[in-house]
Amino acid sequence: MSNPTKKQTAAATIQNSKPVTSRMIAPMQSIGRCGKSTFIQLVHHFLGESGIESAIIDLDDEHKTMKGWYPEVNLLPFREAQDLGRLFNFCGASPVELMDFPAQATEEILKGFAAFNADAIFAEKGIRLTIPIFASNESVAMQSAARIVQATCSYADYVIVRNPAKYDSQLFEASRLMDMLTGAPVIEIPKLSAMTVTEIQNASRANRKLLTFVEATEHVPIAARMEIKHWLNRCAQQINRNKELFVPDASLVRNAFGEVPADAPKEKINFFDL
Amino acid sequence: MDEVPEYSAPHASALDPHKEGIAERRQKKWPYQAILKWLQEAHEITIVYSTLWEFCQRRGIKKGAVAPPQPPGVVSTGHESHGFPAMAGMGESQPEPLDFLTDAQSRLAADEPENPFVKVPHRSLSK
Repeated sequence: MSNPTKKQTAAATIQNSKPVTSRMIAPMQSIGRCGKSTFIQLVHHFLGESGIESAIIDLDDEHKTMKGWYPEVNLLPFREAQDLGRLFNFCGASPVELMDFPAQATEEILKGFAAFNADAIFAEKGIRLTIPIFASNESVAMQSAARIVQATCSYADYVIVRNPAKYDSQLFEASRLMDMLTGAPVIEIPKLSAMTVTEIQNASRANRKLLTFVEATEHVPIAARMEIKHWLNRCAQQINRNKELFVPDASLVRNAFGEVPADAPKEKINFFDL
Repeated sequence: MDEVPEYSAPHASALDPHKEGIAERRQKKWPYQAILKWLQEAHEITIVYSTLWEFCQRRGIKKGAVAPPQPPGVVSTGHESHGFPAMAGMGESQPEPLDFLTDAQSRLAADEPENPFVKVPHRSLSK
């Protein structure tokens, strides 16, 4: 009898996998300044408002954005594929784990995922991976998105992220990538006004700390504060509509973020009462 | 004329002059208790376990690892003894009696790998 191939073994492991108890959310595209860390912060905010614990790790020692926002977070510089070993050993302890990888690291990350047989690890630990794909027109972003989907399509879910404040998405959306990402929901990060962005930067400078959007609401004038609150809620509503991709179990999310469910019974209006 | 003493930064640790010795011993996997004994016998510095543990944490001295070079001008946050060896062991920030539990916890924290994922508490929007 022949020995089972590596692929067959992995498939068997996945079949015998545990139910999903943890979500790992890991943007890993080779593109900088596209809103990766901002998106992680938005997901963290959504989870917090939904009463779900999340753990964060900052792997980008060039920008240290997550560490700046949340000083208690560990900074573990990601350099090469083998750095993922330690993460894989510990992942899965929290309901949701958010990873902030550096830009230009897609190949090394995918190499690490392949070397450690990430799909088998996730299956054994009951982890499901969600990869946000940033729909940027830049060729590097599109190429790395294609590589990510090719390498992880058997065990990952995807969310397409539009961020018009940072990049255009028309080319991306007209490309064959959208066929590869069929069924992936689209989340659009709305634009914040330049005034509010400047207010947040000024408040961060005055406080000598990179303020999160929630923290910034306590330090900026009322107009900026209201815009940030509304902006956070709009983002949370969109994440909530696709909550099954951000939490291990969608029933854990109790907060509707001010939205009326589509299937809610509509109140009958008697026009004679008006 | 009296000799002018060497200036010591107000927040420097009394252990700083012995940093290399401590790092070398930790690299050779000396336990903290043995280093405490060495400091007392060789340099007449009496400190509690937690002071040494905190010093190693702040300077990035790890068991079995080569200590990273420290950039010039870096000083400790000054929990130890304000640079005066005579004050070493006095007014420490940690309580004096070292029970076995603290010892074990410190040892675990220093030597065992930790989960790199940190749970970040949620901060709600103010109304």
